[in-house]
Amino acid sequence: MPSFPEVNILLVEDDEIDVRSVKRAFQTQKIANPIFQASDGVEALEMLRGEAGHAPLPRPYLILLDLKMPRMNGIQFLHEIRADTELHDSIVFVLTTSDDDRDKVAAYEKNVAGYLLKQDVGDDFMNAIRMLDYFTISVQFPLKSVNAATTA
Amino acid sequence: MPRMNGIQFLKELRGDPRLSDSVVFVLTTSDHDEDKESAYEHNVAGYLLKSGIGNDFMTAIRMLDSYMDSIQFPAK
Repeated sequence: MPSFPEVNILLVEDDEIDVRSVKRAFQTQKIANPIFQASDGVEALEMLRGEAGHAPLPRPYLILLDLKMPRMNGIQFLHEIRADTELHDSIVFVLTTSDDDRDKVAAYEKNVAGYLLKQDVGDDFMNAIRMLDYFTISVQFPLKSVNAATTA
Repeated sequence: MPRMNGIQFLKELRGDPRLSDSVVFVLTTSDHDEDKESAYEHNVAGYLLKSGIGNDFMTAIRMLDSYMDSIQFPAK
């Protein structure tokens, strides 16, 4: 079922194998949302802000965030994004191998929309991806931040 | 809602250190951009329209069911 406008997925993930798993899961479920990839928090912020040669990622978007990445990990990224006046209303789902309650607590303290475990194999992982599909078609996404400059 | 509306509630919730990490979905008839923006300013997980007739509403409910099955909640 197409959503209009289509929700962009920003996958913040440094492990190429995991990137492929997520993309394959979306394809299997026939989810056609465009998937953009950043290999860590620094690159993700560049893509969201339109820096370092990137065009800014258009809204609506949803962020799938790994926690363990070089340069800037997931929790650091969350801290940055929640402090950014243009980006702080972003919808973020954590997608990680960490089953550590401290990571879950830290993520929800930054008001992530949800926390998903990558290693839920087979059906559980497919359920998580299906949930994200339902989410993108049923939720009203923020189209601009309250602080965004108004366009003509 | 009377007495305290949803946005006021969100402000209170996010201002309370014991409750500020709560997951909130808005379920409302309001299709106004200002209400959506205000809700996301307070970092709701998602904003759902009640007025979505029939199938749309069922999709939202199905999503919430699927959400509760897939999401890890913190144990604390």
